[in-house]
Amino acid sequence: MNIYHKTTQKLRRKLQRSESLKGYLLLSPTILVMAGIMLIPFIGMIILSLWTQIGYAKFDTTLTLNNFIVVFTNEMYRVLFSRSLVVSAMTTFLTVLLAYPMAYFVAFHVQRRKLLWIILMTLPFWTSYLLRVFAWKVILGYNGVINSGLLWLGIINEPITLLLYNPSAVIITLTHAWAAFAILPIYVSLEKIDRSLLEAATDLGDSPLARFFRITLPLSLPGVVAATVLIFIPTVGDYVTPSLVGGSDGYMIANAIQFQFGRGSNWPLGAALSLSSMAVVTVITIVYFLVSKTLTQNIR
Amino acid sequence: MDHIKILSVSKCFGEVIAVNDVSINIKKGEFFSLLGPSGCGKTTLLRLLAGFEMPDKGEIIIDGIEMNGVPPHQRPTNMVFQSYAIFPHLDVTANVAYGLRKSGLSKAQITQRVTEALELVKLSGYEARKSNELSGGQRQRVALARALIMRPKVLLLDEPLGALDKKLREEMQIELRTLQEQIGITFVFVTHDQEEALTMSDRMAVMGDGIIQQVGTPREIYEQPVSRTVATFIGNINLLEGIVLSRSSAALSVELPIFGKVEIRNSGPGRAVGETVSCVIRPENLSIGASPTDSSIGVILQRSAYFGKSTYFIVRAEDSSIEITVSMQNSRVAPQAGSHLWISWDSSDLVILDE
Repeated sequence: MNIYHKTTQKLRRKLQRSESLKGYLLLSPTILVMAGIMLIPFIGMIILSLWTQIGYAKFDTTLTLNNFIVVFTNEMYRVLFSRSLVVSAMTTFLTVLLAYPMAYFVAFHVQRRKLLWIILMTLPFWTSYLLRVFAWKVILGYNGVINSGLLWLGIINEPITLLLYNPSAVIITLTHAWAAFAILPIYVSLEKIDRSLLEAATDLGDSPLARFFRITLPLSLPGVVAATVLIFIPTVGDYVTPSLVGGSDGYMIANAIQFQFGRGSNWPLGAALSLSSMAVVTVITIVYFLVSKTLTQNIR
Repeated sequence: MDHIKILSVSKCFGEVIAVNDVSINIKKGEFFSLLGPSGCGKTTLLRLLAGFEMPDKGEIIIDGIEMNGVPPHQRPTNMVFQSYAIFPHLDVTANVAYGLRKSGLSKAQITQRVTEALELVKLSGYEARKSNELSGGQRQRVALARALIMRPKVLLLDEPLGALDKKLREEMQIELRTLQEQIGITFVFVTHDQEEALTMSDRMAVMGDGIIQQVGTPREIYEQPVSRTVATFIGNINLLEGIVLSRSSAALSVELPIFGKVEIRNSGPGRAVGETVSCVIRPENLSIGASPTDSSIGVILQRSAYFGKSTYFIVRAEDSSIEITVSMQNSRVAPQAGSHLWISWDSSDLVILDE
């Protein structure tokens, strides 16, 4: 009893003294969950990528880099990688380009009920991602909204097949799907701009357009950077949209990974592909972050 | 000729009348202050001059040119903002040179102008600093240099010293005044600090509830306030209600509490005998002593407040509950509350309010 009392007292005193210990204690549930669902599977993936598949769920556990050699020498994977990067870069660019005016409008021209406007803009997010992708299939398809509309108007004689099952269809669908992730951070950074800065620019002779490029845009760059990263990272690894609207031309790296873990039945190769894809995205993101940090370091 | 003419200008925000039928003329090269409590419409009036707001009624003429409908970036005015509004992504040089981009000056000329402007506000050597590397006083100087480099006809200042501490504020008051005399352009200065307005201005306007209460030199405003609002807003003052006993063309004889029957210079509108009038006298125009003189009146000290260089004595007459305040340079003796003292005054310091 006495010993128990002493140890608890000691622990309590230590806790009171150490801020970092307190912090870790507060974080411990998160740390445990993250270790359970992130770190352990990640280590598992690394190990798996170094094995060789010899049958269904049977592996040769001698460690080898063969899978990575396949990933980096096979022409197909290089095509898939570059297509994924181009598609998600285009998606990111278009999303930010379309989201910026919307965020700008709400931040500067809506006087009341800004929250309502933001909620309305993010309304598509209330439906399932899959449903939204299917909606685009309906719009872009052979007998879809666009084709039947154009046929009815007599602009075309037979449906256009160029709309669906190609990388542009993937880009259009993803752009719509990720819009809210761009609107929100850009809106926040625009909303944060001190209005007297804009008045000062006008007072010093700037026309509204000059003011936008000299003050508003540079000061909203942090939001743009955040939006870019938020959209670029997940879209590189998207496989639902390409497999539904991308066709064979719109096939992306994540589809290849999915294939290896499924019908391809080569889990180690799938793991190697996943890890390589992760590494590529990480490198690109870090470079992008460093560049944008030097561009925006003076903007608070 | 008047440099700035504000002709019966009104401005409403919804139901609120921010500026109500205001007319002021400001002369060229004048340091003109707009003084009033917050919400009195002084900043709105300044923003009307800058062009950030357009008047609902009336017009503003600057240098003979009608300003209604002219946007801020085309007016011969520049503004120093209350928050300074230093562009955070630009350094001091880029901030100061901001407005010169379309001026058609060469790079060398711009550099020259920036150097001059920074010298003027004593900020040489800070060219490469960013806004977050500057103190409040330094930011204020950048804002000033940025506006002055445009060589405006009128410089508008919106409570520019409000965010500074007292000591720095007093230094900047003197510096700003010296600067204005040096460059000779018209300054319109908004402040809620009456001391600041009195110290710095050539002339000033006291505003209240969107209306101009009084326009005049600091001395006129301080010594001859016309209304209760002006009298009580500027400095400390004793306000007494009296009854007119008799009148001549030069003076009114008024019966006041504590003071008794006094002769006051008759300057305002005609007063009838028997009418109630408001009289004011500044605490520093009363003197206090421990022994009676020819014309002094005995009072009882209620309490005193020590202000360093002076002390305020709050006293009342023996037969009255009305209190008056007397200010005095500090002497060695500090009388105790309840002690009997004598106050005296010069009747020329008593002023009758118009209202």
